[in-house]
Amino acid sequence: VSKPIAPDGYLLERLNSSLHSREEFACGVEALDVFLKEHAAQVQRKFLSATQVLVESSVNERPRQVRAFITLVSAQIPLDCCPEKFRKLSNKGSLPAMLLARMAVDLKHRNKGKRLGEFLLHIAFFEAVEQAERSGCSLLMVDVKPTSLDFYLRYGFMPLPENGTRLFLPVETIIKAARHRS
Amino acid sequence: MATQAIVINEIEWRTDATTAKAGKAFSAVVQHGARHLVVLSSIRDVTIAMNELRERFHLKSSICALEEAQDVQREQLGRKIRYAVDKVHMLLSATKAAPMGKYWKRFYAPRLAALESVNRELRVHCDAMLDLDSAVVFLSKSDQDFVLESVNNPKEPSEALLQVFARK
Repeated sequence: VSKPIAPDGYLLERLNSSLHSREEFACGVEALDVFLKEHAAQVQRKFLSATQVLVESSVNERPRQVRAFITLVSAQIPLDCCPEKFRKLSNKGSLPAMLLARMAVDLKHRNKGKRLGEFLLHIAFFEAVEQAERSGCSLLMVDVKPTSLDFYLRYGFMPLPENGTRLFLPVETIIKAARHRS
Repeated sequence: MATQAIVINEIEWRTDATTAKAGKAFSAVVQHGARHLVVLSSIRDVTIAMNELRERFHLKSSICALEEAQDVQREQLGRKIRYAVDKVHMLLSATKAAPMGKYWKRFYAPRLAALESVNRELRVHCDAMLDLDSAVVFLSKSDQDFVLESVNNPKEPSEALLQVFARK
Protein backbone atom coordinates (compact mmCIF):
# COMPACT_ATOMS: atom_id res chain seq x y z
CA VAL A 1 0.00 0.00 0.00
CA SER A 2 1.59 3.27 -1.08
CA LYS A 3 1.24 6.47 0.91
CA PRO A 4 -1.58 8.60 -0.48
CA ILE A 5 -0.72 11.96 -2.01
CA ALA A 6 -2.37 14.99 -0.43
CA PRO A 7 -5.18 16.63 -2.42
CA ASP A 8 -4.23 19.56 -4.69
CA GLY A 9 -3.46 22.68 -2.70
CA TYR A 10 -2.64 20.84 0.53
CA LEU A 11 0.39 19.35 2.22
CA LEU A 12 0.44 16.58 4.77
CA GLU A 13 2.94 17.12 7.59
CA ARG A 14 3.67 15.76 11.02
CA LEU A 15 2.36 18.17 13.66
CA ASN A 16 5.06 20.55 14.82
CA SER A 17 4.22 23.31 17.31
CA SER A 18 6.64 25.77 15.76
CA LEU A 19 5.59 25.14 12.17
CA HIS A 20 1.84 24.79 12.57
CA SER A 21 -0.61 27.30 13.96
CA ARG A 22 -3.80 25.87 15.42
CA GLU A 23 -5.61 28.95 16.73
CA GLU A 24 -7.96 29.37 13.79
CA PHE A 25 -8.95 25.71 13.63
CA ALA A 26 -12.67 25.12 14.15
CA CYS A 27 -14.35 21.88 13.13
CA GLY A 28 -17.62 22.38 14.99
CA VAL A 29 -16.80 19.94 17.78
CA GLU A 30 -15.20 21.76 20.68
CA ALA A 31 -13.52 18.68 22.14
CA LEU A 32 -11.62 18.11 18.89
CA ASP A 33 -10.60 21.79 18.61
CA VAL A 34 -9.35 21.74 22.21
CA PHE A 35 -7.49 18.51 21.64
CA LEU A 36 -5.63 19.91 18.62
CA LYS A 37 -4.87 23.23 20.31
CA GLU A 38 -3.89 22.02 23.77
CA HIS A 39 -3.05 18.34 23.84
CA ALA A 40 -2.06 16.96 20.43
CA ALA A 41 1.50 18.29 20.49
CA GLN A 42 1.95 17.43 24.16
CA VAL A 43 0.98 13.77 23.79
CA GLN A 44 3.00 13.51 20.60
CA ARG A 45 6.11 14.73 22.45
CA LYS A 46 5.64 11.85 24.88
CA PHE A 47 5.28 9.48 21.89
CA LEU A 48 1.82 8.44 23.06
CA SER A 49 0.23 9.30 19.73
CA ALA A 50 1.10 10.71 16.32
CA THR A 51 -0.74 13.61 14.70
CA GLN A 52 -0.53 14.49 11.03
CA VAL A 53 -1.95 17.75 9.75
CA LEU A 54 -3.07 19.14 6.44
CA VAL A 55 -1.96 22.67 5.62
CA GLU A 56 -2.43 24.80 2.52
CA SER A 57 0.54 24.54 0.19
CA SER A 58 -0.15 27.95 -1.35
CA VAL A 59 0.52 29.72 1.97
CA ASN A 60 4.19 30.55 2.32
CA GLU A 61 4.37 32.23 5.69
CA ARG A 62 5.19 30.12 8.74
CA PRO A 63 3.58 28.93 10.87
CA ARG A 64 0.89 27.59 8.55
CA GLN A 65 -2.67 27.18 9.75
CA VAL A 66 -3.86 23.60 10.28
CA ARG A 67 -6.89 22.82 8.09
CA ALA A 68 -7.41 19.17 9.03
CA PHE A 69 -5.74 16.62 11.25
CA ILE A 70 -5.64 12.97 12.17
CA THR A 71 -4.27 11.40 15.36
CA LEU A 72 -3.37 7.74 15.43
CA VAL A 73 -2.48 5.62 18.43
CA SER A 74 -1.04 2.17 18.59
CA ALA A 75 -3.39 0.11 20.77
CA GLN A 76 -3.96 -3.32 22.16
CA ILE A 77 -7.12 -5.19 23.02
CA PRO A 78 -6.80 -7.58 25.98
CA LEU A 79 -8.56 -10.88 25.32
CA ASP A 80 -10.14 -13.13 27.89
CA CYS A 81 -10.22 -16.85 27.42
CA CYS A 82 -9.41 -16.74 23.71
CA PRO A 83 -11.16 -19.69 21.98
CA GLU A 84 -8.77 -22.31 20.59
CA LYS A 85 -9.62 -21.56 16.94
CA PHE A 86 -8.47 -17.94 17.40
CA ARG A 87 -5.39 -18.77 19.44
CA LYS A 88 -3.06 -17.90 16.55
CA LEU A 89 -4.60 -14.44 16.23
CA SER A 90 -3.86 -13.31 19.74
CA ASN A 91 -0.43 -12.16 20.73
CA LYS A 92 0.15 -13.06 24.38
CA GLY A 93 -3.54 -12.70 25.13
CA SER A 94 -4.10 -9.41 23.35
CA LEU A 95 -4.86 -8.23 19.85
CA PRO A 96 -2.68 -5.48 18.30
CA ALA A 97 -4.70 -2.65 16.81
CA MET A 98 -4.50 0.91 15.61
CA LEU A 99 -6.84 3.46 17.10
CA LEU A 100 -8.05 6.33 14.98
CA ALA A 101 -8.13 8.56 18.03
CA ARG A 102 -9.12 11.90 16.48
CA MET A 103 -9.87 13.17 13.02
CA ALA A 104 -11.35 16.50 11.98
CA VAL A 105 -11.57 18.93 9.07
CA ASP A 106 -11.94 22.69 9.50
CA LEU A 107 -15.48 23.83 8.70
CA LYS A 108 -14.22 26.32 6.07
CA HIS A 109 -12.43 23.54 4.20
CA ARG A 110 -15.31 21.10 3.96
CA ASN A 111 -17.48 20.39 0.95
CA LYS A 112 -15.03 21.88 -1.51
CA GLY A 113 -14.72 18.70 -3.52
CA LYS A 114 -11.31 17.90 -2.05
CA ARG A 115 -12.64 15.08 0.14
CA LEU A 116 -10.20 15.85 2.93
CA GLY A 117 -12.00 13.47 5.34
CA GLU A 118 -11.64 10.59 2.92
CA PHE A 119 -8.00 11.47 2.37
CA LEU A 120 -7.32 11.39 6.12
CA LEU A 121 -9.07 8.06 6.36
CA HIS A 122 -6.81 6.84 3.56
CA ILE A 123 -3.84 7.91 5.71
CA ALA A 124 -5.26 5.83 8.60
CA PHE A 125 -5.60 2.81 6.28
CA PHE A 126 -2.04 3.29 5.06
CA GLU A 127 -0.63 3.60 8.59
CA ALA A 128 -2.58 0.56 9.81
CA VAL A 129 -1.21 -1.58 6.97
CA GLU A 130 2.30 -0.21 7.57
CA GLN A 131 2.08 -1.10 11.25
CA ALA A 132 0.66 -4.52 10.39
CA GLU A 133 3.66 -5.22 8.19
CA ARG A 134 6.17 -3.72 10.64
CA SER A 135 5.08 -4.93 14.04
CA GLY A 136 1.58 -6.37 13.78
CA CYS A 137 -1.87 -4.80 13.64
CA SER A 138 -5.07 -6.75 13.18
CA LEU A 139 -7.60 -3.98 12.96
CA LEU A 140 -8.28 -0.29 12.77
CA MET A 141 -10.62 0.95 15.49
CA VAL A 142 -12.48 4.22 15.91
CA ASP A 143 -14.89 5.75 18.42
CA VAL A 144 -17.41 7.85 16.56
CA LYS A 145 -20.03 10.45 17.30
CA PRO A 146 -23.53 9.39 16.19
CA THR A 147 -23.43 12.19 13.59
CA SER A 148 -20.40 10.72 11.81
CA LEU A 149 -21.50 7.09 12.06
CA ASP A 150 -22.69 6.93 8.43
CA PHE A 151 -19.37 8.23 7.16
CA TYR A 152 -17.48 5.28 8.66
CA LEU A 153 -20.12 2.66 7.90
CA ARG A 154 -19.81 3.56 4.23
CA TYR A 155 -16.18 2.38 4.25
CA GLY A 156 -17.11 -0.95 5.80
CA PHE A 157 -16.38 -0.21 9.45
CA MET A 158 -18.42 -2.53 11.68
CA PRO A 159 -20.01 -1.48 14.99
CA LEU A 160 -19.41 -3.64 18.05
CA PRO A 161 -22.54 -5.49 19.22
CA GLU A 162 -22.44 -3.98 22.72
CA ASN A 163 -21.01 -0.58 21.83
CA GLY A 164 -22.55 0.81 18.67
CA THR A 165 -20.32 3.89 18.53
CA ARG A 166 -17.09 1.91 18.56
CA LEU A 167 -16.31 0.67 15.06
CA PHE A 168 -13.56 -1.40 13.58
CA LEU A 169 -12.25 -2.63 10.25
CA PRO A 170 -9.95 -5.66 9.91
CA VAL A 171 -6.62 -4.76 8.32
CA GLU A 172 -7.02 -7.69 5.97
CA THR A 173 -10.11 -6.06 4.46
CA ILE A 174 -8.06 -2.90 3.84
CA ILE A 175 -5.32 -4.94 2.19
CA LYS A 176 -7.91 -6.67 0.00
CA ALA A 177 -9.14 -3.28 -1.16
CA ALA A 178 -5.62 -2.09 -1.92
CA ARG A 179 -4.85 -5.28 -3.87
CA HIS A 180 -8.10 -5.01 -5.80
CA ARG A 181 -6.85 -1.75 -7.29
CA SER A 182 -3.51 -3.22 -8.35
CA MET B 1 -16.05 11.38 37.71
CA ALA B 2 -17.58 10.18 40.99
CA THR B 3 -18.80 7.00 39.32
CA GLN B 4 -15.36 6.41 37.89
CA ALA B 5 -13.80 6.70 41.38
CA ILE B 6 -16.36 4.26 42.80
CA VAL B 7 -15.69 1.72 40.06
CA ILE B 8 -11.90 1.99 40.45
CA ASN B 9 -12.25 1.74 44.24
CA GLU B 10 -14.35 -1.38 43.88
CA ILE B 11 -11.76 -3.04 41.64
CA GLU B 12 -9.09 -2.04 44.14
CA TRP B 13 -10.82 -3.54 47.14
CA ARG B 14 -11.69 -6.69 45.24
CA THR B 15 -8.02 -6.98 44.32
CA ASP B 16 -7.02 -6.51 47.98
CA ALA B 17 -9.54 -9.14 49.05
CA THR B 18 -8.15 -11.56 46.46
CA THR B 19 -4.59 -10.94 47.67
CA ALA B 20 -5.63 -11.55 51.28
CA LYS B 21 -7.44 -14.78 50.38
CA ALA B 22 -4.47 -15.98 48.32
CA GLY B 23 -2.18 -15.24 51.29
CA LYS B 24 -4.45 -17.21 53.61
CA ALA B 25 -4.58 -20.16 51.22
CA PHE B 26 -0.81 -20.06 50.78
CA SER B 27 -0.36 -20.25 54.57
CA ALA B 28 -2.70 -23.23 54.71
CA VAL B 29 -0.73 -25.01 51.98
CA VAL B 30 2.69 -24.53 53.57
CA GLN B 31 1.46 -25.22 57.11
CA HIS B 32 2.43 -28.66 58.30
CA GLY B 33 -0.49 -30.77 59.23
CA ALA B 34 -3.07 -28.57 57.50
CA ARG B 35 -6.13 -30.52 56.42
CA HIS B 36 -6.76 -31.00 52.73
CA LEU B 37 -10.35 -29.85 53.09
CA VAL B 38 -9.19 -26.54 54.56
CA VAL B 39 -6.71 -26.01 51.71
CA LEU B 40 -9.25 -26.99 49.07
CA SER B 41 -11.82 -24.64 50.51
CA SER B 42 -9.25 -21.79 50.61
CA ILE B 43 -8.35 -22.40 46.96
CA ARG B 44 -12.05 -22.30 46.06
CA ASP B 45 -12.41 -18.97 47.90
CA VAL B 46 -9.51 -17.50 45.94
CA THR B 47 -10.98 -18.72 42.64
CA ILE B 48 -14.35 -17.16 43.47
CA ALA B 49 -12.69 -13.86 44.40
CA MET B 50 -10.63 -13.84 41.21
CA ASN B 51 -13.66 -14.65 39.05
CA GLU B 52 -15.55 -11.77 40.64
CA LEU B 53 -12.61 -9.48 39.98
CA ARG B 54 -12.37 -10.64 36.37
CA GLU B 55 -16.09 -10.05 35.84
CA ARG B 56 -15.57 -6.38 36.79
CA PHE B 57 -13.48 -5.96 33.64
CA HIS B 58 -16.42 -7.00 31.48
CA LEU B 59 -18.84 -4.43 32.82
CA LYS B 60 -19.49 -1.37 30.71
CA SER B 61 -19.04 0.92 33.74
CA SER B 62 -15.63 -0.60 34.46
CA ILE B 63 -14.55 -0.36 30.84
CA CYS B 64 -15.45 3.35 30.75
CA ALA B 65 -13.81 4.03 34.13
CA LEU B 66 -10.56 2.33 33.17
CA GLU B 67 -10.39 4.13 29.86
CA GLU B 68 -10.95 7.49 31.50
CA ALA B 69 -8.51 6.80 34.32
CA GLN B 70 -5.26 8.72 34.35
CA ASP B 71 -2.03 6.88 33.54
CA VAL B 72 -0.89 7.02 37.18
CA GLN B 73 -4.19 5.66 38.44
CA ARG B 74 -4.15 2.82 35.93
CA GLU B 75 -0.56 1.99 36.68
CA GLN B 76 -1.29 1.82 40.42
CA LEU B 77 -4.22 -0.47 39.83
CA GLY B 78 -2.22 -2.58 37.39
CA ARG B 79 0.56 -3.03 39.99
CA LYS B 80 -1.99 -3.98 42.64
CA ILE B 81 -3.56 -6.61 40.41
CA ARG B 82 -0.14 -7.90 39.40
CA TYR B 83 0.69 -8.35 43.10
CA ALA B 84 -2.47 -10.44 43.55
CA VAL B 85 -1.72 -12.42 40.38
CA ASP B 86 1.84 -13.12 41.57
CA LYS B 87 0.55 -14.19 44.96
CA VAL B 88 -1.86 -16.64 43.32
CA HIS B 89 1.00 -17.89 41.16
CA MET B 90 2.97 -18.61 44.36
CA LEU B 91 -0.05 -20.41 45.78
CA LEU B 92 -0.36 -22.55 42.63
CA SER B 93 3.34 -23.45 42.68
CA ALA B 94 3.31 -24.30 46.39
CA THR B 95 0.18 -26.44 46.07
CA LYS B 96 1.52 -28.34 43.07
CA ALA B 97 4.79 -28.98 44.90
CA ALA B 98 3.07 -30.24 48.06
CA PRO B 99 2.88 -34.00 48.51
CA MET B 100 -0.83 -34.81 48.34
CA GLY B 101 -1.00 -38.42 47.20
CA LYS B 102 -3.00 -39.94 44.38
CA TYR B 103 -6.32 -39.84 46.22
CA TRP B 104 -6.28 -36.10 47.02
CA LYS B 105 -4.64 -35.14 43.74
CA ARG B 106 -7.87 -35.75 41.82
CA PHE B 107 -9.66 -33.24 44.06
CA TYR B 108 -6.94 -30.65 43.63
CA ALA B 109 -6.40 -30.96 39.86
CA PRO B 110 -9.68 -29.36 38.58
CA ARG B 111 -9.57 -26.62 41.23
CA LEU B 112 -5.99 -25.71 40.42
CA ALA B 113 -6.75 -25.72 36.68
CA ALA B 114 -9.67 -23.31 37.20
CA LEU B 115 -7.55 -21.00 39.35
CA GLU B 116 -4.69 -21.08 36.88
CA SER B 117 -7.03 -20.17 34.02
CA VAL B 118 -8.56 -17.13 35.73
CA ASN B 119 -5.12 -16.06 36.94
CA ARG B 120 -3.82 -16.09 33.37
CA GLU B 121 -6.71 -13.89 32.24
CA LEU B 122 -6.14 -11.37 35.00
CA ARG B 123 -2.44 -11.23 34.17
CA VAL B 124 -3.37 -10.11 30.66
CA HIS B 125 -5.44 -7.27 32.15
CA CYS B 126 -2.70 -6.05 34.46
CA ASP B 127 -0.02 -6.35 31.76
CA ALA B 128 -2.20 -4.23 29.51
CA MET B 129 -2.72 -1.66 32.24
CA LEU B 130 0.98 -1.40 32.93
CA ASP B 131 1.82 -0.92 29.27
CA LEU B 132 1.23 2.82 29.31
CA ASP B 133 2.86 3.63 26.02
CA SER B 134 0.01 2.24 24.02
CA ALA B 135 -3.71 2.68 24.34
CA VAL B 136 -5.60 -0.20 25.84
CA VAL B 137 -9.07 -0.89 24.51
CA PHE B 138 -11.15 -2.92 26.91
CA LEU B 139 -13.99 -4.84 25.30
CA SER B 140 -16.74 -6.98 26.75
CA LYS B 141 -16.50 -10.72 26.13
CA SER B 142 -19.13 -10.76 23.37
CA ASP B 143 -17.45 -7.79 21.63
CA GLN B 144 -14.12 -9.61 21.85
CA ASP B 145 -15.65 -12.70 20.24
CA PHE B 146 -17.23 -10.60 17.50
CA VAL B 147 -13.92 -8.86 16.75
CA LEU B 148 -12.02 -12.17 16.68
CA GLU B 149 -14.57 -13.73 14.36
CA SER B 150 -14.40 -10.72 12.01
CA VAL B 151 -10.61 -10.65 12.01
CA ASN B 152 -10.51 -14.38 11.37
CA ASN B 153 -12.99 -14.12 8.49
CA PRO B 154 -12.52 -10.60 7.12
CA LYS B 155 -15.35 -9.43 4.93
CA GLU B 156 -14.94 -8.10 1.42
CA PRO B 157 -14.19 -4.36 1.11
CA SER B 158 -17.12 -2.04 0.53
CA GLU B 159 -17.48 -0.08 -2.69
CA ALA B 160 -16.46 3.15 -0.93
CA LEU B 161 -13.32 1.49 0.45
CA LEU B 162 -12.39 0.27 -3.02
CA GLN B 163 -12.91 3.80 -4.31
CA VAL B 164 -10.45 5.16 -1.72
CA PHE B 165 -7.68 3.08 -3.18
CA ALA B 166 -8.79 3.73 -6.74
CA ARG B 167 -8.40 7.46 -6.12
CA LYS B 168 -5.12 8.96 -7.36
